[in-house]
Amino acid sequence: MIAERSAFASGRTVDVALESRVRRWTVDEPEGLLSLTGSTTVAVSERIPGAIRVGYGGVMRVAALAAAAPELERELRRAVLASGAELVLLLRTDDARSLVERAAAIRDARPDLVLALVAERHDAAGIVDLVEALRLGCADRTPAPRVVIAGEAHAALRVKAAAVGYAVELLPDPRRPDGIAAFAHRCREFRRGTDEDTVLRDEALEELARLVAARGTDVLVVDVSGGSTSLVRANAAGTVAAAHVAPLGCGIAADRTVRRAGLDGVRRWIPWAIDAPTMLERVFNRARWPDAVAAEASALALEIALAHEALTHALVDAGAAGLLEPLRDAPITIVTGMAASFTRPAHTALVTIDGLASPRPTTLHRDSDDGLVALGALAARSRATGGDPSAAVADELARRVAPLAFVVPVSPGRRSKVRVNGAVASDEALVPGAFFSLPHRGDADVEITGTPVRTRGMAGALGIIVDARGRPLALPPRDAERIPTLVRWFAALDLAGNGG
Amino acid sequence: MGWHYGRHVVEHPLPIGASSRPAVGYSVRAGDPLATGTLLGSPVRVEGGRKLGVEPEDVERVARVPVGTEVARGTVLARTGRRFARAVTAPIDGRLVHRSYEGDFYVAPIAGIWTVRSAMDGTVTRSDDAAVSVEGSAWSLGGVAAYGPDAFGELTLGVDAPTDELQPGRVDVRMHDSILVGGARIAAEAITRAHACEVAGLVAGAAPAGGLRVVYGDEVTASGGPTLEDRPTVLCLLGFGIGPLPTEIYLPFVAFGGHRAAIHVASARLFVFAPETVLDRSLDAPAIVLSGDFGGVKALEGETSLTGVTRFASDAFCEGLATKDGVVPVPNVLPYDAPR
Repeated sequence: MIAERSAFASGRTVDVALESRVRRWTVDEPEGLLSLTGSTTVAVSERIPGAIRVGYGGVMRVAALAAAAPELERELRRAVLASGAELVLLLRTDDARSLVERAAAIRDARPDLVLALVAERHDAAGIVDLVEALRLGCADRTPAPRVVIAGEAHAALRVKAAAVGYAVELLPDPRRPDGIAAFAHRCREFRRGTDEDTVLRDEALEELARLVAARGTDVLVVDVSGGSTSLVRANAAGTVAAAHVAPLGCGIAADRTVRRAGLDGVRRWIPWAIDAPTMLERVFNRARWPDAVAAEASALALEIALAHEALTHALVDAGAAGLLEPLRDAPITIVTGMAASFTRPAHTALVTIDGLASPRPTTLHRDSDDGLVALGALAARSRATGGDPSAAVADELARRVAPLAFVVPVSPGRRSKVRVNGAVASDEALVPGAFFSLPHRGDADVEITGTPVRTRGMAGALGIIVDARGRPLALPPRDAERIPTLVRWFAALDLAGNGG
Repeated sequence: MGWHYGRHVVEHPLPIGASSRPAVGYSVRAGDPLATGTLLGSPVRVEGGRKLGVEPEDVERVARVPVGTEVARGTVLARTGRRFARAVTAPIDGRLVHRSYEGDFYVAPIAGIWTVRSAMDGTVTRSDDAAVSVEGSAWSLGGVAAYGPDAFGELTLGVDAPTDELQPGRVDVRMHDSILVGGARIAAEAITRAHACEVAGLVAGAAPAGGLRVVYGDEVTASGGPTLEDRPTVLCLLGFGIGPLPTEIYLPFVAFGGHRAAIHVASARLFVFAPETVLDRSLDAPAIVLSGDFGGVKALEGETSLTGVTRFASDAFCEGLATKDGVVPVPNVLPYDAPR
């Protein structure tokens, strides 16, 4: 307990990095219980010695070398997603390119770290060939990339011998949970650099998920910020599955989101007509303007659309790593980052509901002021120094985790009706395509007659959101149909979709 | 900061296969070939250590040809013994590109030649297979993003005012090998026309992002980046869409007309090799403002005052700054050279 209190005492201030500024939280600790007393936004240069800084850390570009088996790619992607690094190149032993072309690909990718996974002993020769391409491609590069080798022990040693001239580390096999954890830990050390006061944002999010899940219910933390997008699922046992995708976001990574999603992919979420070149200019300007504020409705709509696609594509990446379903069925969803900071909570709800497209009911929460991220960072710092933060943050966590809405997706029957706490909430029959909100606060037992849906959750300011639009969510391709559809969805949560 | 005169280090990353590059201390001029190399075909692997009967670490000792050397078919790559000699020879004409840790040799046919040119007048401070760096003095102006290969040429004004758009009609073949200065925007057609007229590069306050996508492909991002292929070179100084140049940025372009200049794409900087005395001092550029819809960037001009926390049309609340064009969010105002 003494150790725990001293760990907290070293950081009375928590700076949560935005893009070029930080949100500075002051922390009080009466009787060992932490509380966040107030926040202000300051320039990143105004540093306070000893303050805990929650940041993204350095960019970590990872190139992966592996045998041809598709399941290896999935495991590698899972490890990289857990680490918050960017997978810039995946070279496989069956790559048809010549040594020179492989080397050129590695040189162009400029990796900071190369992960070589040797799954079986007979894969070693192929991986050694890829390491030769690495040696040719990164000859004389300063600083040289670090090499991490994992997998079958004898083969790993042979690959290590081939990586002459490089700093090589042997890590546990990333196909095992301890291997993923070891790789993620190593990458985070690289990203953190020498700044010991920094808690990486992904660490804070994972700790936040653990803290909330420790109360007995599985939780999903969705973080869409300017430069990264994270999905963290935790259960009561403390097991965490995470996908941290960078660069992908609705701010300084807006251009990367458009590159992933395509112009039409982003444009489809904007509830009015906008031509592609105009939208692209706005995206590029936003990407080069850290912490820009959307002063006009059209810019806000762009950020909302980018958040939709960032979340969708983070899920796509998670799916490629075999993580999709575990990330979508949590009964509690907490939204953080820019997606939670929109002035209207309904914007947050729309981004989350549409982006996740979860088929399961969930109680939605939002962290509009990064307070929960700050709490996660405090807890992560405490845990890193050997303490157990659960008791110290419990009260503040309970105060801040307040429900926003209870979202109930449903595929309605012919005469389905919504019953809340045993009473019929609406006389009108529920039809496919319906999307509306029922005013309600507090505990809610929701039953959709004629369907198997019978669920329990908590509603807040946005009430109970009944979503019968079906999964996957389909938007009409033509503006004449798409725009009214979007406007109807915005209006369903009491939003004006007539800006711009 | 805007325009300033000083010493700059410019790094030129090299592709694989460099065959000649200057030594450290060598003097170069912008536009001069800095390093040349070969485009390589698929290499042939030649057994080394095992065929020679030596340990891999001893192959270096018996090698006759250093890595990087051009070889003809039959050239002895390594040889051991005297009376009962063992040797490995090049199986094809090409270059010895690599020696593996197991002591094998890779010889690749030569498919073409590449050249990297200096983007700075100065002295070579680093030279290896990865990059060549040149340090020198010049007037410089940083931009927000650049696209295409590095460009070199005489600086030429392509507009009559800093608020003008560079129209395709203003670009013709007389401007070949020059760096053309636009005003608030480069029309997309002007980019392709300038390339057809062999204009070395284009500089303006902003470029149309859609046009950049057409020219550089769908993978293009707001950060820009260098390319080796034969493409136009564009330097955006303020942003995308429209960006009228402030007077403090535009007037030196007039003074620098006719001087040699270079666009270094990787760092999105324009260097002008004019005497320090051409301008009497470094000109501080005004702050720049991002428009409320993110559609353009312009200089902050006239009287301003803080308005406190203000509600904007998007429902966003934040500190506002009253300008002659209305209240803008304070975070949307940045110094010209703020890290972006």
